Amino acid sequence: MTVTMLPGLIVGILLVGALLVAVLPLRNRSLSWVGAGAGLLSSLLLLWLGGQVLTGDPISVRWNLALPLDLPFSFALEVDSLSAIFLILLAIVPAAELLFAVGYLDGQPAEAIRRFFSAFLVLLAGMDMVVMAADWVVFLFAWEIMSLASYLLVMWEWRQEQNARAAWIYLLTTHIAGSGILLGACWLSVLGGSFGFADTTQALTAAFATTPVLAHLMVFSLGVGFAAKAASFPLHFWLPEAHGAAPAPVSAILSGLMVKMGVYGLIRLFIFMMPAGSDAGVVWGLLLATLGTVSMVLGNIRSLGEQHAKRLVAQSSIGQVGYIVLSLGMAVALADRAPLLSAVAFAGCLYHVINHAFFKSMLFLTVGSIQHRTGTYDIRLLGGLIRKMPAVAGLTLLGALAIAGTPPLNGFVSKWLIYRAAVFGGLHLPLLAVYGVIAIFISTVSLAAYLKYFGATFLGVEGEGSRKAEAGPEPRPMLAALGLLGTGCILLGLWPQPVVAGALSALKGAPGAAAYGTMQATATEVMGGLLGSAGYMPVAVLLALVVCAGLTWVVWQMGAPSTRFTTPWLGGEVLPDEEIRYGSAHLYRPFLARYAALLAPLWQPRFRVPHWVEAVVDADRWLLGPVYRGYDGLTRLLVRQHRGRVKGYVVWQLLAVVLVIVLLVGTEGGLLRW
Amino acid sequence: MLLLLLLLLPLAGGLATAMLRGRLADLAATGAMVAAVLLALAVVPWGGQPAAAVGPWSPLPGFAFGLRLDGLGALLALVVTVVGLTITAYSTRYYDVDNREHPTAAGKSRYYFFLLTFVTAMLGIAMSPNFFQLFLFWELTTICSWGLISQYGTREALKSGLKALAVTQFASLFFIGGLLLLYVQTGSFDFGAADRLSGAARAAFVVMLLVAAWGKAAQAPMHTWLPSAMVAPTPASAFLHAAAMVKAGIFLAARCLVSTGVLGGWPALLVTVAALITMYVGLGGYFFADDLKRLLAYSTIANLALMLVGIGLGAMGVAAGLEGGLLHLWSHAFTKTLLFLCVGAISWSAGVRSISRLTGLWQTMPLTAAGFLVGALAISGLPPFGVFWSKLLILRAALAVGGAWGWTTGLLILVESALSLAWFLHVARLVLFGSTSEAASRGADPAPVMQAVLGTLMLLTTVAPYVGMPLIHWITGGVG
Repeated sequence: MTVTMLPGLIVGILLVGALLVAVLPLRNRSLSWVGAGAGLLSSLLLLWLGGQVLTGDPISVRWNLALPLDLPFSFALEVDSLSAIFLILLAIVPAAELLFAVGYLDGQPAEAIRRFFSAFLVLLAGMDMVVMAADWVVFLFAWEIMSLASYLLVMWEWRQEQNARAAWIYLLTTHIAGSGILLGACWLSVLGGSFGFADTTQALTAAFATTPVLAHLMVFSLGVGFAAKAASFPLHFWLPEAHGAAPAPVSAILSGLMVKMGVYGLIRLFIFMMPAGSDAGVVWGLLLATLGTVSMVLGNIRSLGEQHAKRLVAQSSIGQVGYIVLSLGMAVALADRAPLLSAVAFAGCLYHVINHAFFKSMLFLTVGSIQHRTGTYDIRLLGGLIRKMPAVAGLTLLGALAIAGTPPLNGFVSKWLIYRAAVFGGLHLPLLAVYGVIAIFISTVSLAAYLKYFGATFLGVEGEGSRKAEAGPEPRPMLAALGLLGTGCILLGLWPQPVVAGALSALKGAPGAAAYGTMQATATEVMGGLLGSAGYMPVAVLLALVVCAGLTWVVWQMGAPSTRFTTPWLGGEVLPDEEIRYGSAHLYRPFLARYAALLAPLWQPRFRVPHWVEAVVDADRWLLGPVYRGYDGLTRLLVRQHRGRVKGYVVWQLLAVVLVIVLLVGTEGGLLRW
Repeated sequence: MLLLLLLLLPLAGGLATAMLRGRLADLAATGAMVAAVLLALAVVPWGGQPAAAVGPWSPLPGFAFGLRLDGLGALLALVVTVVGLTITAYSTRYYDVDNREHPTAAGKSRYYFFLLTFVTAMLGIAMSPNFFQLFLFWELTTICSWGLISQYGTREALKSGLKALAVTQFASLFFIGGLLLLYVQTGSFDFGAADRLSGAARAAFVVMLLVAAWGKAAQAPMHTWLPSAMVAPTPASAFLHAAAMVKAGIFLAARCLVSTGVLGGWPALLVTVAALITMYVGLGGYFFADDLKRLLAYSTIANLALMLVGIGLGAMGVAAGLEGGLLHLWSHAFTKTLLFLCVGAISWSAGVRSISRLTGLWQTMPLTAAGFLVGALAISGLPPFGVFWSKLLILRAALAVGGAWGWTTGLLILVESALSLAWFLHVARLVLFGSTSEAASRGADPAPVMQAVLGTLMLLTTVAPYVGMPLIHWITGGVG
């Protein structure tokens, strides 16, 4: 078997799997395993495919499946290093989510399980195709299939009105914004003669020279489509609703991966299609960086104010995508000005994409575990769960520290790359330094948000929801899923070199690779070797942390008084635990009050059609009705002439004869000569 | 001879059912339609150039009667027979005493008669070799539609039937005018004769034919008969919308483009502008429709306009436009039938088709709900359904025309498409999801035959576009 067969095989396995789950007459658990099995099999093949490409050459597949239509497209797939990185991500993270779902869906009716796994596998197939497509029609087809499948997944619990509404807003936003992609792709295909990525890229480059205004408009149009999927400000309003409504494994894949498809599109557009290093690039880059920074601030501060666990994690997705878009913007803006920093920013962007996929999926899954056990998402009702769910507590803490960028975990590496690119990029474009400072500050906000979540859920006294939970280990598939993602967070933090090298090799595939410093930069330089030191060495940092922790422990042991656990004294009053607890709702109040404007509910699309439209549309009122009444009046008038008097009829006949004669004489032969 | 058989078979079936009662009538009608579908499949010239023909019979100089089936006609013939079959099969149970909305089986033979005669009329339009014969069958469709719309005999139904008759008949007057002009100047009714018209006459001819097509295809401002016609039995509405009547108008425009050269130049612009206006008129109607059928009627108006936009762009010389328009005709036929029959199933079992009174139908009638969702997604142009391709083709054609004009058209199509998706999904959300309302709790998936029809249509909506593409590519002159 050759590697070129893999793309078709992977998509085929996923679609057949979706079909099998939909029709096989199996019991619940077996159904789940059929679905998960198909997903895991495709994951193995994806790993193989991605590995082959990263260690070898890009793969290009072209099937002669073009439809008999006047559309110049071909069924072309291409897997280069950038696609390969996303494909490997698409292999590992969904595998964990599928495993988790097997446990999470236990006890659900078969019909719900069928719907879940079928749509999930189709979603995976769509995302794989999006990443592999080398032709805009294939891309759009896969893109919309992906949106459709995720729409059905968000609506998995359709009996709740707000879920259906969230799904509607989600599909609507991404579809309307996606029209921008459709428009841009169609226009480029008209210019370039085909929908292929290669032709359209050339067409765009040519268009920048001939009709720059139109070219910029089209870049904007495409960019809007991708930014909406990536939930970047100002097209972020759908995300908390949709990701809050979906079941946990779905939120995990939506936040962890599908949002990244928008980022993938932005990378393809701004790094692989736009001419690199132009003045226009600086403007677009700064625009992206600004939008990224706004998203970052908005998402993280909003997540600080949430009391609904899933929405808290979802809001923070907006913030984390902000980091990604900021770094992408910096990579675009700094191209050709500071090639090495541009490469650093790009590496940070791709690294954060990977990291976010891991820790955000893990955090959503832990939220799912908690809800599975306690039946609630409201963190005000939780507390003290560490005693009942120690493994989940540990992994949540791991995820929280990772997302906040604590060394030596993975989040630190990517954020460090982003900070460096921003701060040193400030030497070339001062605005970036400001963004860098904001990024550093906001990272503490995200730490605060997750510590609140961790503290309110796992520490302290038990809340109403926690009391309902049974103690005991998680179901094995769920634990395996969380463990897989947690391991990823640790490994990605300790061995950053391969990822950075992968990011650089992805950047080498871009047409203007030289402008991004890929020719001279090595992975070590990107990691900080440039500054004269050896760069960031995670193992050394880990050792230092271990030594410090050891010292702290020793000091604590020497000086700590003996601890005595007792109930607090409340001046003699007996109060329930909930009232004396310093709950999550009480945290950060002064800070949140200061930023209250950012916490207002997000704008949601609403239809209000003015009533005059109805009158305009109803032609009966203003045209056909009057015409009919006029006709009616006319006939009544004629009827009145019909009185049965012979003289009257003779007059009418005479008049008619005269009229006919006039007509005949007047137009004699005229009709023929006309 | 097969062509003649195909033409007369539904008519014969209609006459037979008119004399039969009960299950026999059902069987006769369905049998005739099955035979018609098989015949149609047999005579369609799949991608081959020579079209089957029956020699002309010429009673007067210039008047020629005959049958000829080319690619364009074959497309319409397939739509009419296949959709006709699904609707006849569905009607056998729909038009019955256990229909909660119209619990009656009276007048069923009359209904079948008009339905099957309608099929013959549409097949006649598809197979006409000249304008005159096309006109005769054109008038036959008007009569049949009047019969079907006023089927239930209520005051409202009679009024709506008369309205449809009056508006389309008014438009037909222009058809007669155009034909007279053609005959007086060229002495022939052949499609080719239109190209021999002199300048001004040609302009008058085009405009008159377009008015006829607009009236039939319910284009603004002659569109109001279509929403009023919703008093017809739902399967009949489905037939009027998806395959017959309104499609005749589109067919006439497409015929003018494919078989004559009269649409080139400014008429192309006229067709496109009028269609764009109608598209937004149709869209405007969505937001005020509480009746599901009325919503679908406005959606038909907008979609017919999109087909005409495609034809107009095709007339501007971009083949992709015509392909898009024809593919839209083809995909829309199955999708709209599916939507109508789903609404039919809802009103059949729940007795209500008001959007405000229905929620959570997924709970009580999952198959119908799935069908409605598939239809809503398909009509909104999401892949893998056919409308995705037709919209892509039409949009690209608009951009290929280029200039301010092409861009305006392209943007207007995109905006309309997005708003229509928004509203359709909004309605689907209101009606299908959430907790089950009182009216919806009475609902249940309909009788097995109707379920089978819905299932078939769901399949056709997904698969048919890909089957029809070679035929369409061949019509527009691509290598088949």
